[in-house]
Amino acid sequence: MSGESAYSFRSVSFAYNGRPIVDDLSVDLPLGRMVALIGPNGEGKTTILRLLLGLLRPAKGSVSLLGRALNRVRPEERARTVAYLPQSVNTEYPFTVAEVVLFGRYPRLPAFALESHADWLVAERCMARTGVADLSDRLFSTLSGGEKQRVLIASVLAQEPTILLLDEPTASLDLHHQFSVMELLRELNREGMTILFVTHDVTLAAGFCDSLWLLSRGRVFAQGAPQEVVTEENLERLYGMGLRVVSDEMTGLPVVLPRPREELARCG
Amino acid sequence: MRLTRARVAGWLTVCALVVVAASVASICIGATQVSLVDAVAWLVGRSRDGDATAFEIILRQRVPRTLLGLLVGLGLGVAGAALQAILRNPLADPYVLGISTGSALGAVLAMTLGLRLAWGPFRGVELCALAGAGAVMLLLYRLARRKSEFSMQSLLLCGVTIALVGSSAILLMRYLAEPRLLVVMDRWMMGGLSVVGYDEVLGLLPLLVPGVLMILWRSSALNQLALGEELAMGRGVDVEAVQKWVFCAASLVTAGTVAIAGPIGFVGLIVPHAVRRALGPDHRLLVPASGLVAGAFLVLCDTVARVVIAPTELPVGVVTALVGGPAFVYVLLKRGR
Repeated sequence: MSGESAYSFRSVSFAYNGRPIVDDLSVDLPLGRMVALIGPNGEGKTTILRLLLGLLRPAKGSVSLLGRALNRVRPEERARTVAYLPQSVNTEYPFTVAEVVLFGRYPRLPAFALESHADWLVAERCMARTGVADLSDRLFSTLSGGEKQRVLIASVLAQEPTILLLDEPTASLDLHHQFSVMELLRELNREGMTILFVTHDVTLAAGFCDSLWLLSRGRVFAQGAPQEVVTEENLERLYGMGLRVVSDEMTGLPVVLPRPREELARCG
Repeated sequence: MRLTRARVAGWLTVCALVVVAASVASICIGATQVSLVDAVAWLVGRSRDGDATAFEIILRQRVPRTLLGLLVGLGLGVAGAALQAILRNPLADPYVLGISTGSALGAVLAMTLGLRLAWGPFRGVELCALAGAGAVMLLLYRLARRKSEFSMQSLLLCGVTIALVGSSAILLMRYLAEPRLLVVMDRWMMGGLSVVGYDEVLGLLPLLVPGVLMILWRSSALNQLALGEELAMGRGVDVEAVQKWVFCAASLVTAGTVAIAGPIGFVGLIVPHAVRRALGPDHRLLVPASGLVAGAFLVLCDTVARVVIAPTELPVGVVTALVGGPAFVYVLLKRGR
């Protein structure tokens, strides 16, 4: 379609065991955006990521990557444009940080080739970019959660993608690391990377993204700037429970809070 | 540090030297003392000091046996390293997973039923060994790929169970077999390299060579798989294809080695583990280095097996099991770090 879309979904449907997971979804991810995909568990977030990666084929409709039908793009070719960081990456193998990052060069190398000096320079740059250069000789398995996530981001950056997809990149990180990972993603986005990530943390997403997609029953029922879509009404529809949305005084960004218990409300 | 061509070449040269040293040791040491120098002198200088016997022993017995040991070890080492990567489990190897036993069961069945199949260079026993290995591989693969998360620990347990049931079935057939088959059948319980002759060595090549090449070709993808299936998929690896490809290759290699040498245990477990510790986990080096070192290791174990209770010999499988069993437990306990 338009050359400005990184991805576009046209009436995409996908069912699993007869249960529709994605239902007649049409949505565009414009180039250069940073978008958070938000929705309750089991409402199709992972399926959408898999459709974006071409690991699943839509039963109906079409997915296109930079204007080309995704099913015409070979996996290695796709991996040179789109990088994907799954939710958890663990290995029992004693890989060093440098090795993990260098392995990101895989889609740009022929089978059985070794990485060249040029590949090493790319890896070094990516490690410097995510602040893990001084860890390069450490064993990946001995790092803390926050360090691992930065190393993994460096490794997907080594693919030199234009689009970055992440599945819950801040899950299981402490607050400091959550913010530093999001800060890093926002910097990458400012440098031109298109980013789409799945998250459960609405407040965090609102704080860092241009745009939020709210997903319910296989459809994006609201999309737009955080202030527009993060409303008590939308969240009620999303999670089926009452939540309170307040506006941050300094930025005007929405913050999601639990509703106080009735007793507390009465007292105060 | 980056894995450069120089590093790969350097380490593989070291491994090749280890192979040469082990081979020379295996050729020189045995129940009959022979001197390699004398034999070569006889061959080159035509000295007539009765060293023709030494030459005969070396040429007709020690050399083919050493070659067979190298090839069988190579196959087991490569198959073990590959299986460990696709199953993401450092305890996987053809023997522990029951693939060797499946293969041996196929061979024993063929012998019991007196099958007289032949297809190209393969005889009935080899074909049935291949079928047995393939059947166990298929079963394991289906278990591993089931939609619900099937833990690799359970897969290993399945493999061990298959090995136990298979061994019992072999034992049963051995019980019912004609006496003249008993001695032959023993090798399917505990592998050995006592087949002497160049035919066996050549017979192994059609299964071993394509299998090892298939695994080597996918060794970059094995690195990706070692970091997890999802990340690998994102990198453009066709995970299912690589798994099928490597599973097939490992069955070919295992079936080939078992058809000739019987189920030899733990070589595919210990050697890749040790090599990973020494040279790091990059499969582009780990896979070929494991093959070479496993070849040398098996040849040395066989040398021990030949001389330890001379003039009688032990099956080499007994030696590898005595070394490998404790090593298996060690790795198992060490993982809980």
